[in-house]
Amino acid sequence: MPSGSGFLARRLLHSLLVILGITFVAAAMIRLVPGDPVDIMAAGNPGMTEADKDNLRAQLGLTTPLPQAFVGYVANAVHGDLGMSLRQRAPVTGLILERLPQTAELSLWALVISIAIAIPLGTITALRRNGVVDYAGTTFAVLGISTPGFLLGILLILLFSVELRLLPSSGFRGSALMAIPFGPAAFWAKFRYFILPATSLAFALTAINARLTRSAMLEVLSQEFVLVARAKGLKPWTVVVRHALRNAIIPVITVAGLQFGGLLSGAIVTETVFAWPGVGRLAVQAIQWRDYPLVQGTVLVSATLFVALNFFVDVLYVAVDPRLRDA
Amino acid sequence: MSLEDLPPKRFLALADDYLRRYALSRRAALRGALATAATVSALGSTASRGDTPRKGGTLRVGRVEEPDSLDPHKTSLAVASATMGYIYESPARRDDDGKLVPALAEGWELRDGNKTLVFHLRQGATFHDGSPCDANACVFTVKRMLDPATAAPTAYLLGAFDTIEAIDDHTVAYKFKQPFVPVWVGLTSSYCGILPPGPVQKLGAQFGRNPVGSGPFKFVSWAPDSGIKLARFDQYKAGPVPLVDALQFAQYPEDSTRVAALQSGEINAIWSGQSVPLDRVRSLKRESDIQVQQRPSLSIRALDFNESRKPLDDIRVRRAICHAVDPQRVIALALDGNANPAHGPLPSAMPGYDKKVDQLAYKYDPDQARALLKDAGVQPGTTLHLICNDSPSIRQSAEIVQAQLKDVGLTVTIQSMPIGQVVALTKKAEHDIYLYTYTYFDPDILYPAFDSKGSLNRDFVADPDMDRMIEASRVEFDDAKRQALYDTIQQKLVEEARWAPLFEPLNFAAFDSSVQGAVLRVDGEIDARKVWLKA
Repeated sequence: MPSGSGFLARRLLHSLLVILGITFVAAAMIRLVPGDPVDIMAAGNPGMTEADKDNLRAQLGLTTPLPQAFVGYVANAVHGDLGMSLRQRAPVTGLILERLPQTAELSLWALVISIAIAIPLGTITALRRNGVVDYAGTTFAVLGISTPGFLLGILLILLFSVELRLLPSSGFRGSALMAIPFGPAAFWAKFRYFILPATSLAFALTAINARLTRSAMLEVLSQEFVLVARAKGLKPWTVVVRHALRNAIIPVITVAGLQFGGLLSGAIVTETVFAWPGVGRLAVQAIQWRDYPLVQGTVLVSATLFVALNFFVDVLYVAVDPRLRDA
Repeated sequence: MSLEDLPPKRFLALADDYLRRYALSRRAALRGALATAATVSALGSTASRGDTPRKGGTLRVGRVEEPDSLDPHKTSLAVASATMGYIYESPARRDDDGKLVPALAEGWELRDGNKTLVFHLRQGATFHDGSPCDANACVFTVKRMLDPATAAPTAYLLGAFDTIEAIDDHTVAYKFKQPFVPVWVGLTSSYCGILPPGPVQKLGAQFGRNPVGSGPFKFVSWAPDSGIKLARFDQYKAGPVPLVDALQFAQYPEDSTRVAALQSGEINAIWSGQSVPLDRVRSLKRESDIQVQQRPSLSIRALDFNESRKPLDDIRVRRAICHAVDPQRVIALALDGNANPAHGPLPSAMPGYDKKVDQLAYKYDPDQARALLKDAGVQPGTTLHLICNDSPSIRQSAEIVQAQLKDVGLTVTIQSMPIGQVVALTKKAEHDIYLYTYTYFDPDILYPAFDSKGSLNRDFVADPDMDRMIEASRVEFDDAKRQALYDTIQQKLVEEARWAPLFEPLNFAAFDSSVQGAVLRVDGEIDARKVWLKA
């Protein structure tokens, strides 16, 4: 067996342990918070007696000790059954699956917008180093990183939907990706709903990615092969795009991949502001309601996606870097 | 004379009156509120003159919360109860004025010493799936609600229930162990709506996401993106068939987004719970194409003192705090004026409210407060720990209280957290002051809140005298005697400064100019059967 697959097998095992560990810690911690699901139901329901509450606890399976409950949970989870939500009385798997695509597509558009702006912006600021454009780019980056997501979201809504009435204020009306085969009008009808939330998500990412592109470009532009390319008499445009940018873009793509992993666990603030039916809001609601199976389910799915993306990056490294194959 | 010997007619009148009194007393309060709020459109209704109601259209409503389940026996969330009121039907309903009106039942009578309530159900009423909504469905529903395996969190609404029997297809007998005066409070609520045996058994745990009832609207869909969609049920028999084609409820958790959705025309209305943000009421009232309605709610916000530890076991310290806190300032600063000051343990809109507490209430007087504290030997700078829930208006109220108590030399530390955590932590008596919040439909809230055995008692006082009176009020069916007990209890609670009442919140609803015929009820909800949309 080649040692490269040994490396991957070890990483796979580590990944599984990490997922299991994260889920157990989440399950234990949510139970440490004062107030169980029945306490929360009873908070708005003064007529319930202690006996009523205990009966409900027994019916919901809250009387099982945590280690025992967790073992049963893992056994079922292996078979794809994440249990029933205590509060919504529906299978957790279904609740997550009906929200995950919305989060994934929003993350994707946010990433697309961010890359589409960040790479040209980063390149131009690198080429015009210490010029007006560079300072403007730096200002934009500081603004992007320091603007709270909810504030930007609300400002966008007030400007584009209440004042100008150009875009819908919130909500989701179906996948824009799926609408592509049905023509531009169908795509636009769905995509309009993505623009404001994806832009507000993309703002901070764009700032980071533009800075990253800029510094990578500066490094690459100072290397000798760029000088050689220029000396050959290639057009400045070709040198920058075909030679320099290709090399500079690698760290940006790596970071963007990790950003995507982070976005997939749900952009809680953006989903709340834009009434977006994603997993982030589901997770927050689960925590507020102490809906233990739902908390565990959202954590399990987010952790799995994040770890899987990291694992995928590792696989890519093995494919790209020969040194790792012998490790 | 015991209730069992009362002529049935008189008992029914008593039970009916009980229901109505608690709605009408709120109407009086409503008129008071309207008089002060000159900007409120047409008295309590969005109806404008010269327009005739028309059929059609979709009423789109934005709410801050979403139901957890639409199975009446699996939820106790107010937003779920409100939604279920459109889907399910009960033998009788309450109209906007709190009057009892026939719904699934054409009529009813009492038998067996007022312990049995017999309903005569309408012929031909069906569920949305076409199955008959008859006596068997009633029997099925009540048995399911009371089954310990169902663990319905609202089973207590049926009181001391004995059994239910179908006399024939259209006659059903609800049998109680003793005459139960508040019977209509439970039976008109959507938690006691009649369920279809077939779909409930077939769908099992999925019923709460795919409800079937016999109410004015039938369930269409419930998806995370489009919210809850309901369509008019044209075969509706229990009241006026709705005018709008469909009703849609979407959740907007963020206040600014919800208001923006109304302003940009994506939704027609905002109501239910805290859906109309208090800090936007003033600006919404100024907008010419937005209609705002308001009404006092059956809620109280108050400072509850933990008397199991020093220094609040001393009545002088509690009275000092009552004198030091000015509810008017809390309302003005934390709620932008959108509440009424509270004077006692019950909201003024609740039946059983004793007007005398208005006079007994402690006047804002910081000098008096300082003198009382000095007298009690409380050092300036003494620290008190206040626990409250994390809703913005509550948190801000706590901060105003903090500032006012600082003025008389008390330092307050605030800990705010989600309501479930608050309930659990305060149960362990880890606080000095608890910013108590409740919403309840009946003065029986006194039992959970103030009886030493009450599940929501957070002052930890064991006063046998108080317990005796509260417990007597629960079984006293004589109107005057029960009121006398309530009066004594409220006066004693105020005199002993068991808590410092702050304010009674208001309910709000906001509509765009197309919405007609909407009337905000005391529970903060709208009867959508009467609403219509201008073309």
